[in-house]
Amino acid sequence: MSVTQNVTMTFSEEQGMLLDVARGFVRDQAPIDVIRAQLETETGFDPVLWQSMVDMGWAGIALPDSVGGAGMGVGSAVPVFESLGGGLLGTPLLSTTLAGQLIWRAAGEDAASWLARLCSGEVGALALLDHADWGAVNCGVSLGNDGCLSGRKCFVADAGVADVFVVVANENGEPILAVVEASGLSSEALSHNVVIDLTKRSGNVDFTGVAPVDIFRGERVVSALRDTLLLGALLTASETTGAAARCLSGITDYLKTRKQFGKLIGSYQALKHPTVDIYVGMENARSFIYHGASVVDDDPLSEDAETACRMAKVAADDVMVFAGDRSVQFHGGFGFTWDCDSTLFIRRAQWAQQMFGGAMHHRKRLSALLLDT
Amino acid sequence: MGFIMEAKALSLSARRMAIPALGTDYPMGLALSVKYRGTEYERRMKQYTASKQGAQSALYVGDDEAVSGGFWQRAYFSNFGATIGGGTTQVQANIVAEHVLGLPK
Repeated sequence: MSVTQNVTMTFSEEQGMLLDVARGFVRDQAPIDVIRAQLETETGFDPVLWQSMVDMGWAGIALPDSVGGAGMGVGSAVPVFESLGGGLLGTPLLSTTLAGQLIWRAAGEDAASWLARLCSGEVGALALLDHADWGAVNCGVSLGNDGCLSGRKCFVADAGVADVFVVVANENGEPILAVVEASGLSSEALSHNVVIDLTKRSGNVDFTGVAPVDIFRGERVVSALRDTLLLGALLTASETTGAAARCLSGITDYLKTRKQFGKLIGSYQALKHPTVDIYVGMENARSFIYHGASVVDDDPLSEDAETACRMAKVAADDVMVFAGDRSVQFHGGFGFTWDCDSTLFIRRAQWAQQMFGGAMHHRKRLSALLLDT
Repeated sequence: MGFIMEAKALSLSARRMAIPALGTDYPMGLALSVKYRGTEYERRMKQYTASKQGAQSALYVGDDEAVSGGFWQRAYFSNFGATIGGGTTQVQANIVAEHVLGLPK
């Protein structure tokens, strides 16, 4: 067996069109001044932009057409998230997509009404983490005999704007998914996090005393959870790869225009060669995300798909952390000012490297997957 | 795991070169960086392998007790032919910087 195993790489004409449309949308509708205008707002995004994305069908991009989705397969979300990352456009699309994947994979058509609502633009949020450990079971919230939940969830992305929460919980020790509507939460239930990435929002949510409006149980919940975590890693990696590419072009633009000691700084190899390493890392991450897009589908993820999702996350995290760090340094005295976009990239790097498991988390699991026999 | 990922990334990039729609940003980038990526990966991987033999890492081709007949030690040394010959890694980095990223000479 080759150590590289499956190297499938497909890219359909439809995906190509999606990539062009998504990039065009981000370029035209979300230039950096639009992004900066939202950095300190409560929700972090412009509802008009979000509505445009919903109108283009992106809220249901990963879902089948039988429940109101685009029917293009979950891999088609990769070019969209790569493009959003390229503009640092943080919207509730990632949360909504993953909330949809979780209940679609756990319940299929039984969740059709919820999925239709997500496809139509209601914001879904994934209430997953009990604490900071992505590797834990995270079923600490319990459903009691009184039909109410008890416990709280941390780092719930887009909790402040969510219409529907999918809460990973347990009932007598068995994992279940509890669906909670935002209208069912008291005003004290949510406390906002101060997030390092100013384009992202999250919060802690206390679900104690809340009666879920729907519950999904059964064996599929476990595999749906596993797959949703892997898809979360792949889609975050896609977003991160887009951000790394944008960060790289910011660096090269500066290196081509800034002069020191009478020369363009891009002519110095001390800056030139690390920039090439950012480029190579970005291209590698890009290969991994599109390989991931080629091997994931609606079925429970195969071992090859798991490998692809994890490798994509490792590659994207590593290059983003390096690119964000070097971007600040290479911009010199300007690099750590608010006016330099490097601050947005280094913040994105710090945020992304932990979401859905960091590089170490995935390396450890890849080792078990590929090297333990 | 890093080396497995690098090997896989090299194979994947070869596949991706056949998909022009995924290479519009830096059209010649993957092709011009093949030598830079590939030969340096090989050098580090062989160096690593030669270092994983405990005290036997100190043996070389010709010693009966050398692991795999000293294959990895020799492979590591020979690999400099690839990272130097045909334009050193450092020259390759300049080529990528100038012709792919458009940085000044």
